Amino acid sequence: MAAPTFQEVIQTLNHYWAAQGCVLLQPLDLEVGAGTFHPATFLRALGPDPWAAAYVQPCRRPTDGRYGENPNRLQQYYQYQVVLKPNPDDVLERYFRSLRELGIDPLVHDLRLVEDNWESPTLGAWGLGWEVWLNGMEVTQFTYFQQAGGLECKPVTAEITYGLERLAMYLQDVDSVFDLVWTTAPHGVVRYGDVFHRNEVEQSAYNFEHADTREMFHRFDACEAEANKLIALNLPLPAYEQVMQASHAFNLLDARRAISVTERQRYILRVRTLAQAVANEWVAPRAAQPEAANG
Amino acid sequence: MAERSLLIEIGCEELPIHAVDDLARAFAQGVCEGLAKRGIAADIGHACVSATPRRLAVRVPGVAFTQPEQHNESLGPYANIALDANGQPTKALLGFAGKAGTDWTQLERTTDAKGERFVHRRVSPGRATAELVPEIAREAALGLPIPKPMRWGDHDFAFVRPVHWLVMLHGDQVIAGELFGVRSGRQSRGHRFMHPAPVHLADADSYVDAMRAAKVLTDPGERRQRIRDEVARVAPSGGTPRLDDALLDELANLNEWPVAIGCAFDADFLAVPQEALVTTMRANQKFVPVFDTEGRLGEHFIGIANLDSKDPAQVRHGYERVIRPRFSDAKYFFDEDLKTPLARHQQGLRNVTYQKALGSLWDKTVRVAELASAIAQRLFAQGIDVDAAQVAHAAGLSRCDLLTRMVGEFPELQGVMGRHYAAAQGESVEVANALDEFYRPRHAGDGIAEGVLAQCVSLADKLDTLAGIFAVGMKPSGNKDPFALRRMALGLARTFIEGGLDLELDVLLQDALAQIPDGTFEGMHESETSVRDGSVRDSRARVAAEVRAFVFDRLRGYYIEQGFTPQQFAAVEAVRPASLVDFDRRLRAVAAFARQPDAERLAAANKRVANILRKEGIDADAASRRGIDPALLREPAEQVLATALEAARMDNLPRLGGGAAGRDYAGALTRLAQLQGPVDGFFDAVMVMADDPALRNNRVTLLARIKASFDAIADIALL
Repeated sequence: MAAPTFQEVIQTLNHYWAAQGCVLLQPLDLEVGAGTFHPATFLRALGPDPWAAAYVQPCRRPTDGRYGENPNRLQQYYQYQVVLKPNPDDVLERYFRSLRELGIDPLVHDLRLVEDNWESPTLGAWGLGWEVWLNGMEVTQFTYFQQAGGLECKPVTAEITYGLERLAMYLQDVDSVFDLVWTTAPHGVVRYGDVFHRNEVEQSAYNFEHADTREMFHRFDACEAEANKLIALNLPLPAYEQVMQASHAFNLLDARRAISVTERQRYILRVRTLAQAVANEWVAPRAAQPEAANG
Repeated sequence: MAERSLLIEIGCEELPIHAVDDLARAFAQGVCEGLAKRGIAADIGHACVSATPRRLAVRVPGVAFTQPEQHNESLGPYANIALDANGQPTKALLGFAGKAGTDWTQLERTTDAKGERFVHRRVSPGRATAELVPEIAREAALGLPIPKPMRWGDHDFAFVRPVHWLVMLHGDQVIAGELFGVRSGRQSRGHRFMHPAPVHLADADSYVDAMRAAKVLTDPGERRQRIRDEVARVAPSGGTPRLDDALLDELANLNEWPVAIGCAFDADFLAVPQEALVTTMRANQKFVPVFDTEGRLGEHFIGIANLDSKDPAQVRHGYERVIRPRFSDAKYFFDEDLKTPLARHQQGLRNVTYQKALGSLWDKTVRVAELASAIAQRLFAQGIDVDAAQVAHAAGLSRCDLLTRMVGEFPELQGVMGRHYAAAQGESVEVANALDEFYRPRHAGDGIAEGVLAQCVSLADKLDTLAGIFAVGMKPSGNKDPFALRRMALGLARTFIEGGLDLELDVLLQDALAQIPDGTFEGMHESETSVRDGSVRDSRARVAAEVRAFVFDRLRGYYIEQGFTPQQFAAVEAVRPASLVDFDRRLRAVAAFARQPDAERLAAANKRVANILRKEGIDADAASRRGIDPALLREPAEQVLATALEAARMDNLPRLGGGAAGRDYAGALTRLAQLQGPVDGFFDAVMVMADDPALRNNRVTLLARIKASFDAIADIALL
């Protein structure tokens, strides 16, 4: 069987998880560090309602940029995120079936689950689970959410995060992410590098050299203030967008090494405090203000 | 059919590898205790613990089908409360009988310390084991020491990982029960991929074989052996795989069906320090590195797959691929780090907090360099070839590698990378080695720093840590020892002793404490220190005494492990030798002395001397300096003793002079042992407590001089 192109990997996963009853969403239109930040994961993991969704999320990690010179590191990459709440009893089997759909035969390849407990200090979230190793390479993070925004998750959400580039690199047997075949167009093969290499070079330069740190500090403060204002107005969704933007400003400051070790902790705590306030507000309206839930 | 094996297996999603062994043991123990508590006969001594990444199981042979008869006894009211004046039952007694479901006349009586009372005794038939096992299993499961329990689905309960099946078999019978929402049965599950169909277990004893047929090795010991055999099978000729116990444990708990895959990486990566490559392979991938006969890492490595792959070449290809970017990262870190001289990181150390009150890592580095240099000067004065400036230089670099990228990625390489970078950047071999060795001993059984230069830094670093952390009041308590001070204290003592460094511990502790900022001391505030200079001084003395006692506690264990007795240790500790090298030499002399035939008698004589002096309230040390008046020696026995003692003292002068290393404590003790006869003769013939104060004084002084002569080595009376 020919290896799937990058976009076929996404299509296969979309097809598979749609058949599992997931709502197929599109990426969040804000800069985030991980698919977990998407409200479809972070906020939907809270409260009693069932939820199942799948989506691709571009992730921005400014410190991981390498100007397009490292075959494995990118300042922006794709996660394929699946959330299932409550987790079905056979959620692991469903996951492994998705790998079969991608052409990975578990009787040929060494697949295994290696303990990896996930924690997001900025989101006040943690869970227990594994890294999934495919012949020793981590291709997925699997997490049973226990807490988000400082609140207990009940029922429990299972979060499956595929590293799309790694998975595709494995399937296509290429050593550089930029060599990945994205698709074959009439004018020829389009590779990951054709789509994103220039972006990696320019964005790395911005992240490491040109991002205006004074402006970022200011943006962080402004987003924080705006988030607090919106939380007070009982508008958790727009408040949460401000939290994500504050978090991205922090990530850029981190890449510019503008934050000292001790300050770093303080900034993380400030984001977490906001995320917790949003989480509380998101869960609260049903009980406190039924009219808001109707609106 | 009197007894059969009992099997309980809890099937889970993949367990945390570091918890599997403890959980399996605890589960087996819980089940065995549950059986014992209920009096169910079972061959607990032969219980088998099984555990794999996906199951915790225990098989107990010889489990009876019922409990023995149960004898129950409930105590009722005392006779004086139970019966009225007419011997009729009171409400209390009728109530008790009613609760017991019997007539009061059927109750028996018993007598305890407070008098006669009614008692209800009942014999009930034992319950069936099958009725009791479900609660035994539940108690055992709920009692497990789970580090981080988790919930799943919409359930209220929590366990180490989600539970999917439960086997409870007694002989060939299923015991009906439920655990974590799963009903018991006789169906287990095999290897996740190689045997997806359920495994039908005919009876409890067929468990291990049936599971092996389903590609699961349930016995952890068998799995470990399989891994060793597999590693040996694929090891390249002439190569030595390094599979230590820690890695073996991890691999055993990561695989149900281990199969080794021989692999190789690009030999170009061998330019990177091999410690970094080995750490990458082990910590990140659980690969087994392969060395040549000289201990050099080669390009071969071995991966353990949890699968008998239909195409092992694809697994190998995967393993070889996954290590490449990791090694590339290591190479990148190494190359990048080499561009920055170590010393340039000193500036950055100012931004890294060591401990709030004790300042930054740079503050600590400055203190350590100062102290290390002082130590080197003392050693130089003793004729040891060490350059204080070089020592200070090494100490100044000692923490710099913490800020390199490699150590940032692999903290366990601290020191090791310092050595590599220093060597590559033109530092002397001694300085480079010191950056690595000063951390030693890193674990129990590790040697001390080898070079004198490294030893100076090592001592200084440990002294500063002990002094500083004790000063802030964070000394270890119970099993809490976040700064690993116990290891550090023993490491300090061992470095003195095994390095033969004859330095005064108290003096060095004072030096170390003098550098700890005034505001640090527990319970003190900076504002107070200027006006309370005296109390800071007291604090320093108090902490010095605490650290000293702490070091001696570790030292006692160290010597007792080597076969010295607590008495021998106490005998030397009592005379407070200034240096630990001196302490060591004395202890060895005392131990040799204790093996001699008259040691016990001499110890007894010393005890007698000590008792007399204590009763008289005499300070032996002061009294011994008074000197004996020969004119007052009336009795022949005391004259003999005085002459013999002074002769022994003269003989011992050269033995006990000079530096500790040259002292002949064993010879001195042997010489003093010759006083046995005169001492015995003295006690037989001479009355110490003479009426004449002058005579008495003279005799007490004689005894004090004997004690002082022994105390120059150890307090033999304590043996």
